[in-house]
Amino acid sequence: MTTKVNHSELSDSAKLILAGLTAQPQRALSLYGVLSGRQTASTVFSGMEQGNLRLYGVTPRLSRGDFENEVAALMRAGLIAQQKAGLCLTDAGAATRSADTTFAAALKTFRPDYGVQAFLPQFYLAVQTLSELSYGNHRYRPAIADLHVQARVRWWYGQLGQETAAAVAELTTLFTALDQQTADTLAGQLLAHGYSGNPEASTNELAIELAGCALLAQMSPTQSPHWYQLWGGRQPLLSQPMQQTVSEFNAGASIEQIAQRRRLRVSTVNEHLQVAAIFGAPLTFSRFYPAAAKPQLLATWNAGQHSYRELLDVLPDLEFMQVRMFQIEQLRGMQHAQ
Amino acid sequence: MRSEVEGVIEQLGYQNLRPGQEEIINAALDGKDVLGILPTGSGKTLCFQATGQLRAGVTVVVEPLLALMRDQQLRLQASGEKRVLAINSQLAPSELSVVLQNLSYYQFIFIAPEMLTRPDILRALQAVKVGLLVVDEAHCIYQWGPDFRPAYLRLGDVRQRLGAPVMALTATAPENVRSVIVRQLRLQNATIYAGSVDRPELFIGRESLLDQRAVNERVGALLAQVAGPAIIYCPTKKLTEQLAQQFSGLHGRRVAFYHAGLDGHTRTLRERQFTEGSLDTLFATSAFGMGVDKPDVRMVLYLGVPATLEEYMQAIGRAGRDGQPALTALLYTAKDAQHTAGMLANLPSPILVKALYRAPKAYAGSDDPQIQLVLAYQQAGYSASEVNQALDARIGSKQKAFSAVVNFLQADGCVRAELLHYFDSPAKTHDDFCCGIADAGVLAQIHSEQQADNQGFNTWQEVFKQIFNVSD
Repeated sequence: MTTKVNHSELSDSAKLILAGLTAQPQRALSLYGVLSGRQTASTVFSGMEQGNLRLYGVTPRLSRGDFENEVAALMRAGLIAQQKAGLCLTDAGAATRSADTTFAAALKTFRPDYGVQAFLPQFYLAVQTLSELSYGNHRYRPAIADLHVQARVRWWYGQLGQETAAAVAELTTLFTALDQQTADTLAGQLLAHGYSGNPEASTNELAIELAGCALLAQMSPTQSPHWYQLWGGRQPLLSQPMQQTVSEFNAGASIEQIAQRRRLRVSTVNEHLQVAAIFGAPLTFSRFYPAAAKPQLLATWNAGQHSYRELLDVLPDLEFMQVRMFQIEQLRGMQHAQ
Repeated sequence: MRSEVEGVIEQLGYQNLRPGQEEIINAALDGKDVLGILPTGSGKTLCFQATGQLRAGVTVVVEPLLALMRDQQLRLQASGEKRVLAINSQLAPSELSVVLQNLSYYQFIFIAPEMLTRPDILRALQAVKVGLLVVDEAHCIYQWGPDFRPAYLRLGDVRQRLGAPVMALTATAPENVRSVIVRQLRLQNATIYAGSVDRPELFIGRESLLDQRAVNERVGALLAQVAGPAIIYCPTKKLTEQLAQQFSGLHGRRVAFYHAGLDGHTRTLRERQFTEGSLDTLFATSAFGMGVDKPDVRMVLYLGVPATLEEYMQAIGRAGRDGQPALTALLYTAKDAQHTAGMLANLPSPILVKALYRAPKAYAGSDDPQIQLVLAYQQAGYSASEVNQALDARIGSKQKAFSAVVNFLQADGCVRAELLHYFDSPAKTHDDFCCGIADAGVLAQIHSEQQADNQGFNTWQEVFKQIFNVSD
């Protein structure tokens, strides 16, 4: 027996689990990996299939234990169910989710490639720097101790030169473009001269992150060049080794050549290319599977048989990587069409 | 006071020195080894800050915890000193390599003992002039102490190689520990300054209560009767949140909770809000306190039973740093004592040790004290099985430390004397503001200045006006 649950009373983690699931089952571990930003091919492929990659890395500090507890609670409440192939949203879960339009609207601002979790500490320190400067004060306890953040802000401040007033003006314009609540949430997190945040402001990590996303969504190199420079624009989702693999592959190297050159396993190079493909890297897909296989693969796909097993049944001589890259190619095409 | 010392401390924002600071600084300026034992909050940092500014060469400061290192780094930056470096796991190998080539640029280098004993780092330090080697939390060298770090044992070798005088600092060192510090660090003709750890302005309260409900009621009563900023240390995160909610707004108090489950920035905000007065009551776990220099805390309550008296002293030491009367009280139940006794064996398990040895780099940035402890052993050259043996031995020293806590709980007579006896420190003569149960007479002696109304800025427009110095 389940009791009616008010979506706004759920924890953020529970809300995100509901946001990520559909009526199609997804393995719990895959959903966890998507939400916490685990960069394995199986995780991101699962996210791609499920259509929840938009939530990739939204809650990087979520522990596996907390995730499992929330899943158990949602199952007890009848909002999600465990099927053989994984977790899925129940009708009650879908209804509960759609009742909370405020959360859904806020969640829409999140983009995995904003790098908002890395940006916010830089933002806080940059604001503090400008604030203390406006009082002529050079002796203050920095808001952020991390040496990389300090180095970044120091560099950015050096780039500003005489433009500090312009940076403040830009920031005011950016905040003016936000709705009052979002702007107040962000302002409540600032540490600056004569101000140590609003003790009554929300400390909800997700709300703050989404407010940060809303701020980043306003930024552009032309309208807010100084703050855009601090941010650096959208962040690559691929790790540096993955980017290098893509670059070498696109320069004509084969998977085996890349593996040998960089002393990597072939499976590692395959992982790199799968993740890169899922995150939209430009790749020539025809290099991954035999041209002769394509018509049959396409026919099977167009008949609605999208799973690896179904495709392999039709062409049993194909290898995993070949089928998988075909799947990714098709899913990318479907997403673009949408 | 030496004129050069006066000049430097003025630059650092101080008018004068507290007891012990001058002796320690002077000894170090004269190139002598020194062991300084100063109670929590009495300015150990200034001792090496001032000396480091005056002595030629780099000041290397050994810190056992990342959080301590971060705090010291921020303090120095706040004083205007920018040439500060923390060598820890935050540095990528390529960055470390660049930094090691440019060590002479820095005035202060903070480093964990495990990293200091690395051959590449030692070589780099030997190539620059090290003016002073500071060993903070020097009691970590005591093998039978609850805070023992094996890498501290190698610091004696390190000081020989660096050839710099040593300033060893700690808040807690009974006589037997002092002699171990001197021997292990090979201090020569050391000046030893052992200030009394007594804080006469603190009332040392101790109350055994029936159950948690009674503890909570007592907390409420004291919050109502004692004005001024207060810290209430709780044994669990859950209790901090529960009590913060329960007492929110009580008698106009501005209340919040603080524990390691909050993200780093929120913790920083709450520390500053408490220090600057927009919060005046914090329900916190032991995660709170480092880097919080608030002189006018009028009350510190400690709920539950501490595992060590060192931990307890550090907590209550945050009260009354302005020298004015302040209340401290340990509020506990029999169940709390059992719970703490049961936690003594809560050391890293063999499973955790195995996981850490398998992939030490994956855990390098962790703040978790258990993880840091195992990594410390690993970096000191212990095998996994040796670590498990050492951890078993630690249980013995933890039990010994806890038995001192039990003695303190059970002592008849002057509670203060019992507490300070553990630290081989003299106690003030028992008087009507000394120890025991805080009655009306005691509470009447605690005064707090009228707290200014919180100048709240609720909208971003108001905040921007303030922070960017925009006049009307």
